Order: sequence, then structure tokens, then C-alpha cells
Amino acid sequence: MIFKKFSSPGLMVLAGSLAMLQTSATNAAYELNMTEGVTPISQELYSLHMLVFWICVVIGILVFGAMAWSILYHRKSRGAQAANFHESTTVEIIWTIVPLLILIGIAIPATGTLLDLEDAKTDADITVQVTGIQWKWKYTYVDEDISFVSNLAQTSRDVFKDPTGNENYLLEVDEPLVLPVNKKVRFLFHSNDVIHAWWVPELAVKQDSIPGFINDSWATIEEPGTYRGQCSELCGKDHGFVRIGVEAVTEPEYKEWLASKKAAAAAAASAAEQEWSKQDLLARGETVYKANCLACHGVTGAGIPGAFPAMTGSAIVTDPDPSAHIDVVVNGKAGTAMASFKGQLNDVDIASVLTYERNALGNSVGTVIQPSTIKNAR
Amino acid sequence: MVSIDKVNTSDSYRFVLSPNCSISWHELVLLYIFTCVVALAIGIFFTIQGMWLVLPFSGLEMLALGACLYLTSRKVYRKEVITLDQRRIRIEKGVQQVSQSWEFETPWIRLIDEQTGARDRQRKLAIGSHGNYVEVGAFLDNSEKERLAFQLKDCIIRV
Amino acid sequence: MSSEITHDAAHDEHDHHGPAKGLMRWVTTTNHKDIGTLYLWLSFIMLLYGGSMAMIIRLELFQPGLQWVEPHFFNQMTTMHGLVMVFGAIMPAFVGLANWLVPMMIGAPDMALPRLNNWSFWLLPFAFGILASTTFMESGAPAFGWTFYAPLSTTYAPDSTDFFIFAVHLMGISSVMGSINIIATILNMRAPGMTLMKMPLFVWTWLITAYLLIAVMPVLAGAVTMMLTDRHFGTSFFDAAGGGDPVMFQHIFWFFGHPEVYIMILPAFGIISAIIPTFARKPLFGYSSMVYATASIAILSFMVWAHHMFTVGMPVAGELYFMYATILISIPTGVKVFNWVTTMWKGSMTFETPMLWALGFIVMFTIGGFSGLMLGVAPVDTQYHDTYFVVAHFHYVLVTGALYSIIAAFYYWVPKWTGHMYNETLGKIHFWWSTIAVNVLFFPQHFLGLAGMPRRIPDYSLQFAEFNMISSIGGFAFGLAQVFFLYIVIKTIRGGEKATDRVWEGATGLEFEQLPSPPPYHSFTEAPPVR
Repeated sequence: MIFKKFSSPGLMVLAGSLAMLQTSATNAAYELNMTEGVTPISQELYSLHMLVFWICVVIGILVFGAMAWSILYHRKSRGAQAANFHESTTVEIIWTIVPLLILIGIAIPATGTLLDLEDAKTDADITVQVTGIQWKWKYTYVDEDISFVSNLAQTSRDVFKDPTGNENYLLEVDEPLVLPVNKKVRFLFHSNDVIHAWWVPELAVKQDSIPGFINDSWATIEEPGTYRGQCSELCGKDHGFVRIGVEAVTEPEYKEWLASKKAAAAAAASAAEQEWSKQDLLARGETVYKANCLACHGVTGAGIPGAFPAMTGSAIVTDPDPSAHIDVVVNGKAGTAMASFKGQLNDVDIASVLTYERNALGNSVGTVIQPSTIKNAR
Repeated sequence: MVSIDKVNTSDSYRFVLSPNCSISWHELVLLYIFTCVVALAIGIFFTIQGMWLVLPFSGLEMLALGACLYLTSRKVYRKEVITLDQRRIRIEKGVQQVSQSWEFETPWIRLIDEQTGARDRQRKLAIGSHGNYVEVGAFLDNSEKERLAFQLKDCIIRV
Repeated sequence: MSSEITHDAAHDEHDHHGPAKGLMRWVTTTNHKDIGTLYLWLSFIMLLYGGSMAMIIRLELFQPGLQWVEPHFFNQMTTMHGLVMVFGAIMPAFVGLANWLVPMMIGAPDMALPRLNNWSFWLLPFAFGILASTTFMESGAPAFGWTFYAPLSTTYAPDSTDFFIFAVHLMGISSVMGSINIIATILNMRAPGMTLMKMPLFVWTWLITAYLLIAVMPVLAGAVTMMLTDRHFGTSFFDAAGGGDPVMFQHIFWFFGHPEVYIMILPAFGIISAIIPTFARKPLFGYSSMVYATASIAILSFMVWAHHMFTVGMPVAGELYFMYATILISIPTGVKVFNWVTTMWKGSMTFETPMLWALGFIVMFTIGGFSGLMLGVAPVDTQYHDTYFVVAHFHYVLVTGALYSIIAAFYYWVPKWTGHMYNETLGKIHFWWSTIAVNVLFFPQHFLGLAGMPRRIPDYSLQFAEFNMISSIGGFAFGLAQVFFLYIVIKTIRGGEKATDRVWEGATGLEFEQLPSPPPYHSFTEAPPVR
């Protein structure tokens, strides 16, 4: 009777009916189960997950059934007299051996799947290095000389206070990782600062990116589409906003994308050669600041006392000689959370954000820093 | 186990009193060594991995455990031996060896059996003479003290 | 006349009177019952403190967006919630129960080292005072999760981390002293006839738990000390830039952390093994197999730590080993559940409040065990790891497991402790309210995790909105239920129907058969007969 409420189907009904009471209903998809995903491994994992799940359900029905039976029929109010048996070696042996056999039944397929999962090294078509950085990802196509940083899209950052109706809230990234379908992609994971974990459920890839280590994993995507994921290892303040977007495209589209990416890199390099106006630098600097610096140093540059230093009035930032400022942004500061940005931002970005920091956020040093200065400082 | 052994050899009686103790010294030492082996093995394992700061804590902790077990053992491995014959009564106290002893002349002996403590009715037994008394069996519980007092009186009368 | 008696140097230290009056009674007490009460109250205060942080977490997660707190503060809340609940609520509650019950169950007058006992309690309020004060520091409280993985907790940690390290050291010292005391008591002070295999299971599980604590506490102390030297004294145990190894931190942490998990559940097994036979009016089925199962769980707990680390990139052989060892734990755990169910079978059951909580424990702990088995299967853990599925799993074993057993123990023994029966109607309301709420709270989190929501995030995308809102509603209801519990506790202490000495018709054990309700301040001034 009453104890049926405990069991999962009962609860699902309970939970479901509660949910119907509330009206938001933007995405009324009650996702209950793990995704089957789009790689051979993800499908293997799904069936293994379901196998273990159903084994648990069967054991649960037996155990809870026996319990419910004795609760119903062996109760004092029905006049049940207590028996006095309290030992049986045979029974104990049976319920040690039977579970052991069940476990062996689970362990055999699990071993096979695990060996497949760990088989990243053989026959990779493409290798992508994924670097975890507080709080974004950097992707490097090892054979293609392409590398870029991927952030949470600004559209999500603008609506933190009230994301209602914004369907892609916390899903979009500014630059997704583009991969061809039906190719074995090997991922190499590394971190610049703390431990992150790169997880895309549909690809069944979850691997920690750890400073000082290189981990690997792999995926062969079988269907074109957009697959989303996020960091799943607590990596500091903005851990919840380290998003992943994977765009799986056909082979020709992938080639096209590679070409356009290379052209864009060349254009950026030539832009760094030019002299920039203060206005342009400030405008660009604000965008770069928001994407890269704001998380720690704050919207107004106040930082978080005791954890992250303030930008406003900082001795380094307001020093008329910019060399210390350039050094800390380009090379980072060892032993602190301040990262080196030389691998993440190009010369124009660094020059503009430095100019912005020196002339906004309550500072007015006046100096303009040109991309060429940064190029020399590298 | 509280033991009142009465040894009767040619008109002399001996009572051996000891507090309740549920583990022998031998077992306790074995168990302590086992615990040390486990704790230090863990410490050494991490030292080999380069994380040597675990080991000092394991060591400190084993010292603390050893000290505490030793202290409790001193309390429970106490013994009091009362030997009496026609002339003399001898009371010896100590852990493993005799650390204190008293002697009184049997003809003058008095046994004090009093109740103290309003709530707990703690019994107190003492033996002595001429204003000089030694408490015996302080660690025994009341019913054991009662039995001890009865038997002591009995023996004193007999000798 | 008594003044003439030569004073025995090794005379028993306890005063042979009742408790002293006033506040100093509690500060200076060496009485196991007083110290047990202190531990239990501390644990209740910490439950409400940690619970209020959980309310903040559930409030922020009530709907998508960042409405209530900043992400940095959110991380402080998840961290402190975990630390306070593990070290402040669950562990002290079990130590409090051990203090109250172990001497009464083995027929001892008190703990073996009464003054050490006083000290090990009084370290805790200071430890938690220090830990709680970090919330008000400029940098905020520690924000790196209760697992404090390096380098987030070293190079990238807020200034308050040093206070956290000091607080953890104090808690560690307190636990070690508490365990030593429990070991010494159980080994040395059993009444004549109370052989090891006659001890109640609660005593057995605590003996094994105390050994686990002794074995792993130096590891925790070493870990936080190495954090400290990494932060301030130029070592690089965990700093990759200096040649250290951040993964090694996780190995150390979980070498402590996994036995710690069993430290928080083994005494619960002991409690349930006491309650089920009482209300089934039938002796516990398979006593000795229960003892062996407890011991095997304890031994296995040292061999499975890296199953928390399936995604750090271990060699395949390591992952296989840890998977096999982990799923093996379900065998002794299963044996326990089977034994409890068989104890009920053909019993003559009644369903007073302690029995309800115990039955709730068995059902929901088993659900937590099932998700544990699923998590133990290494390849699929790729999809479960660090998601709400894990959150749901460990809350099923810790809230509906450990906490439920503690509440069951309260209802079961409080008539013995105070001499007053609690109010049966209120107790039943408390149970049903909590049980419905806790399932509304944690069951949907399974779905959230499977659908892809990671843990420790302050905000989520819209597809998770519905289940999060349901979960939060359950959370608020469960929180409120424990405030109601506070009312029941105070009401029971202040008065109530007089409890009989036996308390429950089917109760067994020295504390029920040989002592009145409430027991005298010094129990067993005479050795009780042991059957």
C-alpha cells in the first residue's frame, strides 16, 4: 500500500503531476533518460546503462516485493505470530553467490565497452587539442595550424538576470568546434590552470583536462548536427558557464570551414600591422574585456577583494609605463589565478584590452597601446 | 573480570582483586601492532608516492593511540593482593609488580565498610588499625565489595 | 572516619554525584551521557546550518538565470554545505549516539577516557566556528567544493583557505580522539560475559568505524598540510608547474574520502539492525554474517577509492581493477539488506515511528545502492560522472540513508534517554512529510543528471527548468520538516508520557533490559548480567 510511493514509477507520476501544475512550459521536454548519442561508443554506453538499470529494477522488485509482502501480511494487527528463525548458512551462501553471478554478468560487457572507450590512439583521422582555461576552451587542430578560443556566447551573458524565453540560454558558444562526420577524431586534453572536464553527452566524451597532464579520448560522429556540452569539473567561479558547442558537418563543408578559418587568421595578422585609433581600440577592448577579464575583475573593475585584485586604481594598470601591465597580461602571474593570454588572444585583442583597462573602469592613464608593441613584447 | 581469589594454604588466606577487563594485555598488544602496521603502511605507501607528509601524522596518531591504550590498561590491569595469616595481614597494590604495600598486625585489624555519596550509595572498604587505614577494592562494584567484606570478615574470625 | 583512610592514588576520577548545575556542567562534564547530548545538539545545529545553505542553493536553482546569488557565493554555499553536513552533522551525530549508547550496550559505567572525551567534543564548536567565520571574510568562504581538488584549492584558492585547513585539522584531531576512546571502551570495558560476538551490531559497526577513522585521518591531515605548504612554503606537491601532481591529490583525497563514506553509513547499519528486530519481534537474521559483511565492507573501502576518478585518465588496467572492486561492494551491502528483509519476514510487525524511519532507510538506501552500482560500472560512469545523477546517488545514501538512521535512532532511544515518550502522531507526520519531500527533492535529480546537467553549477539551460523547480519545492518542504523535528525534540525533552523501562515490547539489549528510563547519571555501578 503506502510503501508503493517509494518505488520509482510512483515517484515519476508524482513528480510529473507536480510539474504540470506549474506553467513556464518553455521547453516542456521531460528528459528522463541518458541520450543514445551519435557515436558508436555512446550507443554502447546507452545499452550498458539500460542493462544495469533493468537488473536493478528486477532486484528492486524482488527485494521491495518481499518487504511489502511481510509489511502487509506479517503485521501484528493482523494477528501475525513472530517466528523465531534467525540463521541459515545455506541462505547466506545463496544470496552471496547469486549476486556474484549477476555482477560477473555486468562486468563482462562492461570490460568490453571500457576497452573500446579507451582505444583513442589507433587510426585517428583528426587530432584536436582541447585546452581548458578558466573559463573557456581553446581548440587547436594539430595538423591544420588552426587554433581558436571558444567562449559562452554574449547573448547568454546579457540575460543572466532573466533568461525567460531565450531558448538558447547557456547553450550557444561564440565559436563552436567544427568536426567532420564519420571520421575518428582524437581529442587531447590539457589545462592551463585548474582541472576542467570536457563533456559532450551525445559524443560520450568526458575527460578531465589537468595541468601537467595530457589525456585523450575519441569520437566518431555518425550524424551531422549541433551537439552541446559543458565543463563538468568544478573549475572556479564561472564553472557553470564553460560551454561546449560541437558542429558536426559533412566532409566538404569541413574543408570549406578550414579554408575560411585560415583566411580569417591571415586577415587578423595583417590587422596587427596597422596603427589603430584609440576609439577603435577602446570599442574592441570592451568586448575583449567582457569575454576574458570580467569574470574575475568584475564589470566595474572592482575585482573580488581577497580573491581577485581590482582593476580600478591598480598600481600596475595606472603606472604610466605600460611594460609591467603588458607583461602580466601576456605572460600571466605565476602562483596566482592570472593566466597568460599570449596563447589565447592575438596582438590586436591584447592591445585593445590594455588600452581599455587604462582608459575605462575608472582609470584614465591616457596611454594608447598599439598591437605592434604587443608583438614585440611576446 | 573481577576476581576474588581465595587461596587457602595452611591457615593463610590470599585475596587477589582486579577490576573488570574484557581484553588481555597480550591481545591488546597484538591488536595495537596490527593497527600500527596498517596505519604506517598507508603512510609509507604515500611517502613512496612522494607525499611524505602523511607519514608524520600516522606516526603521531599511533603514539596517541598507544598512550591512550596504555593509560586505560594501567587502570584495568591493576591488582590488589591481600594476604593474611594469624599474625600479619599484608596489602599489596600495583600494576604487574608491587608498587605499594602495607602491613598490619592481624589481632588489631579493623575492617571499615561504609556507604558514601547520597545518590550513588558507593560503598567503601578499608583495612587497617590504630587510625591507619588502606582502602581496598575501590574499583569493585557494590555487590562485589559486599561479598569481599563478608569473606574478609569470615577469614579474620577464622585465623 | 573516612578522613583517616589512605587515599588510593589510582582512585577513579569521576565524582560519584549527580551532574553539577548550570552552564559549567556542560563545559567540564566527563559523563558519557552529557557528552553524547552535546554531540547530538551540535549535530542538529549543524544540520540546520548546512540545511539553510542547501536552501540557498535550491533557491538559486529554482529557475534558470542568476536571480539570488553570485556564482562565487554559490560555490561557497555548495562547498560549505558539503563540509558542514559531512563533518558537522552526520559524523558528530554518530559519535553522539556512540557516546550515549556504547557504554550502556556493553554494560560499562562510562567511556574509557572520560576527560579525553570532553576535549574531543569541545574542539568541534571551535572548528566549526572558524569554518563558519570564513563566510564573512573579505575573500568569502572556500569555494572549491567539499572535495577541495588541487590546484583550485591551492594556487587558485581564496585567502580564507588557511582557516579551512586549520578547521579540518581540528575536526581530524577530534575524530581521532573520539575513535581512540571508542576503541578503548569497547575493548577494555565490556561487562563480564559480553563477548565480542554477543555485542549489539551498533557496537560492532562503531568498532569497525573507529578503526576506519584511525586508518584514514592521518591521510586527510597530510593532504591539508601539503595544501598549506604548497600555498605558503614553496613546496609543489600538487603544483604541476613545480613538478607536482594534481591527480595525486585526488588519490590522497579519495583514499581518505571513500572510507569516510563508509564511516558515515556503517553505524547506520548498526542502528537499523537494532530497530528492525524490535518491531518485527523476531531476532536479527544472520547476526554473524552481518558482522562479517560489515568487516568486508570496511576492508573493501580501502581498495576502491579511484572509482571517484574514472575520468582523470587512469591506465585501462587501473580502471578495470577499480570497477571490479567497486561492484564487489554491492555483495556485502546486499547481504545486509537481505538480512533485514528476512528479519521482517514472518515477524509480528508494528509500525511505530522508529520503525517507519528504519523501513524508509532500507527502501531508499537500496535505491541509492542501485545508483551506486550503476556508477561503479566504469565505462558508463563517463556519462554519469560529476552530474546530478551522482548528486542524487549520494543524497539517497546520506540523507535517506545516514540521516534517516540518525532520526530513527532518536525516536528509538529518546524514551530511554529522557524517560518521556515522544508524540506518536507528530513523529508519524514528521516521517511522511520528510519522506514525500525528500523524494520530490532528490528523485528528479536522477533525471537531471542523465539528461546532462553537471553538478556544482549555479545556473542551467532551459531544458532543465522543470525538474529543478520540482526538486527545489521538495527541498523547501524537506527543510521545513526538519524545523518541525526541532519542535518535536524540544517537546519530548520537556515532557511527555512516561516511558516504561523496556520502552518497546520487543526491545532487547542491556540498555532496555537492565536500566530504568531515564537511566541514572552513572549507569551500571554493578556489572549487569549478560545473557
